Amino acid sequence: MIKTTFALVLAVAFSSFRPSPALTPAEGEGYDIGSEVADIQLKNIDGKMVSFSDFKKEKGLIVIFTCNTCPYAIAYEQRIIDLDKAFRSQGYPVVAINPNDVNRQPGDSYEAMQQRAKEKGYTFPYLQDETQQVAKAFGATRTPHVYLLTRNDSGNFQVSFIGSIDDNYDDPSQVENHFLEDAIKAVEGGKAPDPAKVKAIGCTIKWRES
Amino acid sequence: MRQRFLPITFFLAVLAGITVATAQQYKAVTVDQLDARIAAGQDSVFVINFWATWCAPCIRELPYFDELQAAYARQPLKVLLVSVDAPSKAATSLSSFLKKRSVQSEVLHLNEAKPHEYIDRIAPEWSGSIPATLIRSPALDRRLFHEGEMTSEELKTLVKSIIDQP
Repeated sequence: MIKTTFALVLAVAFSSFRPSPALTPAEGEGYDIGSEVADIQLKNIDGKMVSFSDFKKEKGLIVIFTCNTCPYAIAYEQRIIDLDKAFRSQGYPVVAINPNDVNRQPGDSYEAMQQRAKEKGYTFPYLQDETQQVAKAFGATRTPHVYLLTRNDSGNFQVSFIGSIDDNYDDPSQVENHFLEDAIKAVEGGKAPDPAKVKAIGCTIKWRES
Repeated sequence: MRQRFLPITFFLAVLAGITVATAQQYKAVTVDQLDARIAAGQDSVFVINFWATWCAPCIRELPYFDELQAAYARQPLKVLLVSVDAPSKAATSLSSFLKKRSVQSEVLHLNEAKPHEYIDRIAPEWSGSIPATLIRSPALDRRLFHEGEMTSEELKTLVKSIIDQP
């Protein structure tokens, strides 16, 4: 059985190839709650490289694997912009990472990312994970796929929450559970987020073909 | 002059009527309603495919489900194509898709806004990605879940495995 992924109909992307199962990381691989994360070095839309170690004073980071093209990512885009506005000043800025293979999803090219960020006025880094190594290290499978990083006793970033921003992608006015915001509040209150993990609802990351 | 064109106009009107009539209408269902439908199906084997109009692998797979339904036309097997298009967008996205594409099997729209809730209720082992296919037979007390795209052969084998189980 071939374990495959979503692909978008946008731009009539009816490609004939099929993703190779071996290249698709299984659910549950990568970082878990409590994992210390390795530093990254990815190119931002302004041409500069961004690392987690650039964030010296921040209490944490809202790392979101997302993209230009997935309907779920598009539905959450404004909420991601709003999260950065709300939490940057509290010490938790957003770091958005686009992991999609550009060959499979031309709408996620570096140029398209630049254009999108400009149009929507992104106030946060929007990084291209060209080799997909960062997405694999995190164990990200979806766009959007949310990770809350917080500083541990050693001063390093560790994973404190994994999953979705909230429980209603379709209608922000009908959200009942603000998973990510609740997780930040818990951490701020000196508690462990509960739930620390929820399903990430989104499109499957477009992994590179071999 | 006027009379000469009348039959043509009539013919075109009939043709237009037929075209409209063949575009499948979908019914919106909640998870509870879907469960009730399956429970009421008694002797049937339900092959329930979860898809969306924006999911290319899902759309590649749709004809295989139509083929399956045709192959089992004389047996109690029912294909249900359940779209998980966003409830706020289904009225446009799903309707226009069904107007453009000829889909033979019955189409339903999952009228549930909260994936964290409905995914587990449909299949606890489901990560939520589509396409995903659930086969349920209340009469045989059998259930099978498959996540990911299938070829026509893989789908047939999967269905056979549940029907031919000793």
